[in-house]
Amino acid sequence: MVLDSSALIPFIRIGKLDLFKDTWANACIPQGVYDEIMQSPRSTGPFLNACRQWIAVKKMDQKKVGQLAEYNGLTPVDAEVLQLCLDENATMVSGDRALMQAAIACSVPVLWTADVLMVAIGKKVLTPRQGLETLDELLSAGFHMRAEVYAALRNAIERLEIDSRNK
Amino acid sequence: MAHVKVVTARINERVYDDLQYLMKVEHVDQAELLRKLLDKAVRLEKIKLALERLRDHKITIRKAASLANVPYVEMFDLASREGIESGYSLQDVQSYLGKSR
Repeated sequence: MVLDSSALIPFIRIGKLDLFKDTWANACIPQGVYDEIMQSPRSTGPFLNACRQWIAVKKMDQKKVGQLAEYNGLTPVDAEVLQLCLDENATMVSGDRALMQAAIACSVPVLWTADVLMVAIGKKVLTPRQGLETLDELLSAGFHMRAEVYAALRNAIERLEIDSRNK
Repeated sequence: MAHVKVVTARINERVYDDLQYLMKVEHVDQAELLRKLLDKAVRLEKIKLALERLRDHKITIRKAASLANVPYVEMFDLASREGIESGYSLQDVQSYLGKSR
């Protein structure tokens, strides 16, 4: 998994960054994302620990990144995230619609910030109840979605809870 | 020293009176006050334009940050405060559920 800042920031802020580790064991980010997160004085401690343990910070080939940025009209760090997905043949986890559209155009698989919860529930890292609580925490940490989308996602998680009770 | 340009503009009397008031209160000369106010207004306008484009999902958060000349995390927070939704749609939820079945 390649993690974009838009996915990392809400999880850092709710203190649940390790959810990525518990779900996928490891992840990677380009240097540009590391620098962006480190610019913020809030909650960098858990992020630094994660970068020492299970998040690999990759230095990118700036020539390749520059070409990708120019071709797709992206900023250099957007292009770093996308290039890393291409290099590692990895899925991009993001909460940024325009970046994900660029990824899809390059045939890179994408996963939304909120989808992470569904995967974590599927892998039994979270119970559906914990998934619902985390969803609400993510919303308060800046991951906004329309009311009808929130309702559909809640419904889907609640259905998983009913299914797990019936098993 | 940074390069400077000279700008001349006509302003209405009400704004002129307000400027005179602010000069007195803040103990600054007219040029200094105008520079400060213009700097602030240009910064806010750039942020507003970037947020409008971000709201339409025409640009990435990084592009918006770059257009507004603010760090990524600041743009993330500004978008959040403005209630700009991420772009996660019903189709995305259904697509994920379809794939995971």
